[in-house]
Formats: sequence, C-alpha cells, structure tokens
Amino acid sequence: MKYKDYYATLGVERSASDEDIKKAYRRLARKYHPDVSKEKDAEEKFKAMAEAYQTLSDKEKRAAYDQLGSHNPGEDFRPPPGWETHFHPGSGNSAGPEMDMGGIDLGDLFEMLGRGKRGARQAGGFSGGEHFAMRGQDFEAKAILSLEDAWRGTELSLDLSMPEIAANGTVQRIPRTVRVRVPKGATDGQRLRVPGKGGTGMNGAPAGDLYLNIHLRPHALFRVKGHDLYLDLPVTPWEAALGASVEVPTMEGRVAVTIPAGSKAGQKLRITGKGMPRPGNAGGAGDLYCVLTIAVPANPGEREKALYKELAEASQFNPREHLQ
Amino acid sequence: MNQFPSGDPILQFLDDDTRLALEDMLSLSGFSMDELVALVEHGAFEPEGKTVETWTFSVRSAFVARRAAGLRSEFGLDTTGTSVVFGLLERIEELERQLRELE
Repeated sequence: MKYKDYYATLGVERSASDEDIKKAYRRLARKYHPDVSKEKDAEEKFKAMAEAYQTLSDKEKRAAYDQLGSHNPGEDFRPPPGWETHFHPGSGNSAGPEMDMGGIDLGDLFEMLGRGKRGARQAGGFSGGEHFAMRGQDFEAKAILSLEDAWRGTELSLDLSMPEIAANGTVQRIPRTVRVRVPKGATDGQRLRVPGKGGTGMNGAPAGDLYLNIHLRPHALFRVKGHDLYLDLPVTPWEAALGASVEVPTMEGRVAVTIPAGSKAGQKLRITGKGMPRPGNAGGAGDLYCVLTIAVPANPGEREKALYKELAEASQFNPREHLQ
Repeated sequence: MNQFPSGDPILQFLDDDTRLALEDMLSLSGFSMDELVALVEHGAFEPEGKTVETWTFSVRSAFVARRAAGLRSEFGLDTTGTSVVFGLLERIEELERQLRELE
C-alpha cells in the first residue's frame, strides 16, 4: 500500500487540533472546491484534500491513521500487525489480518472503516455493513456531443470510476465503461437519466441512476437555443433591398429561402421544422432561424464603386434620422 | 420517454419542464427530508404540490441542490447559508447557460 501524508495535504502539523484541521480544510476547500474554484487541477486537488479531511476529521480514523506511523508520500508500507482487526473488527472474517493490502488504496481503506461504522449503526449493532440494503448512489457525468450526433442520436462509451464494495468488503474505485445510446434530439443543458447505471446497490437494493449532463460542442455554422437553431446568413445590400431567393444549409441538406425586399440586418427568417428533433412521442422539431447580416465587398471593383456613387447621389434615404 | 429493445434501460430526457418527484429530489440532491423541508421554508426551492408527499421539483433545482448539498457538507453551512448558496448557484447556472447560447 502506498503511503499518503494527509497532514501535509492539508498543510497542518501532526499535532494539529481538530479545529485547526477543520480550518485548514475549509480554507483549502474555498480555494479548490470545483464549484467555487477556477484554479487548474482544482478537482484533483480537492479530491486529495477531501480524502485527507475525511480521515483526519474522524477521531477513530485519525487514531488509526496515526498508528500507521509516518512515511514518505508514495512509499510502500504495511500497516503494523493487528492494525486492521483492531480498527475494523467486522472485517476479520472476510478479509482477515493476513489480507493482501498491496493493491489497496489508502483512501479506500479508510472509507471502508467509515462504512463499517455506518453499517454497524444502521443495522443495530451488527459488525460490518453486510446486513442492510442501501440504494446505489446516483452519478452525474458530462457528455459532450457534436450537433450532428445530437441530431441523429448516438452511442456513447463513458469511462467512469465508481466506488463499489468488493467481495472482501473493501470499498474500491472500480473503473467501469458504461455504454449509453443517446436518442436523437438531445440539446444543450438537458439531462438524460439512465436508470440503474449509477452505483451498485447493497444487499439487493437497486442500483443508482446515471445522469448525463449534455453539452453540445459549438458548431461552425449553427447556434443552438433549446431545440431551435440559429444561422448567420450574409446577404448583399442589393439582395436585402430588392429581395432574393438564396440557398441555406440545414442539418438535412440545403433549402431555398426567400429574402423579402427591404430586409434589415438582424432580421430573422424562420424555416419551420428544420431545427433539432424533439425526442419522445410528441415528435416534431424546432425551427431554424436565419439571422440576416448585410455584407459588402471588401475591395469593390471600379464599376461597383461607380454604381455605389450613383446610388448615393440618387438616394434620399437617411438611416440616421432618429439620431438628429 | 424513449425505450430501446434488448435490455437497454429506459432513458429519459429531463428538460426544464420535467418535474421530479420528492423521492428523486432526495436521492439526487443528497439532502435529508428535514433539510429539504427547512430549505423550502427558507424559500430556496419552490416545489409544486400541496402536501410534502406530492411535492415535485424542477430538474434544474434538483441538480443545483446536489451541488449546494456538497458545499453545505464541505463548508459546514447552516440552512440559511445553504439557501444563499443555492440561490447563487442557480444564478451562475442560468448565466452560464446564456453564455453558451451566445458563444
């Protein structure tokens, strides 16, 4: 088993009081908690701190940890003889003091001590946590999809690491690959509930659920708002003034759109039913909005310049009348 | 609701207008029943339903509640603090959503 220096992780002395440990943890949590921190590697640092705090904030676990002695972080070590049975009597039958601890993570070992205590409390004094049923934990994971995948539906393969109780009673983080078929019509910010794909339940209780938080990768052409799509559609000044029929891309091929005469920049043209499909029995789809922008040639030719000049002289149009 | 053959689980898209039952809210957020009732009394959540048993919650509030519950445990927040955190997280989530729409 590799040693972890929980005191160093929290930046406190081995003799620190409970209050000092709590203060140190909160100060670091304020800095690295993933919900309040923008620091790089915040999540990883926070996990290490949380693991250290969970052990050092519990009198019994801290005493057990102190009994392990002081080693260099990462150094291979074995707990002193009898340590395991002394601090976790319920594990004697299944794992025993002779259990091979080589592959066990120190954090998982201390989580197991906590489980043993909680189990004993909830099961009315039985040692170990073997006799009560507990629904598996719900998990949340982020699923980043391309717009195309969301539009036609896709299959995702997610590599998750979930704490599970192994046959010998220890809590271990088991890497699990979960395959999920995401039906067509997912949209940004939506959640997809995948029942029974969360943490394993204990003693016959059902597994928890997995919730996928869906994010759509920005698309080169389309912006997404709910099930509607937005496309910037550049038109020439004369197309805007005189009206035109132009072709626009959609998720399912190109369609012709009529630009009405006298169109303005920012005006939206709606193409019904060409947005993202709506999942479920309701069916249908959102709409595609073309947002007009008026583009002018960066380097107009001589003839174009002459025609612009002619237009400028002929036109009485003043778009800044309201600013006078 | 979308169902797949051959043992695939029944997947459910949760939109902003999906309502979650009390049991789902408790399981997802990690709050105890007493904590949830206290937070509703503080105005953090506005469940629909006349009695506690029939309360339903918005999907967004359930996931914000899950993060708020984590912060409550990490920082030892009381109900008032958790309620304030919940309100701020909800605003951040909404602003981030708007930001993504503008990107």
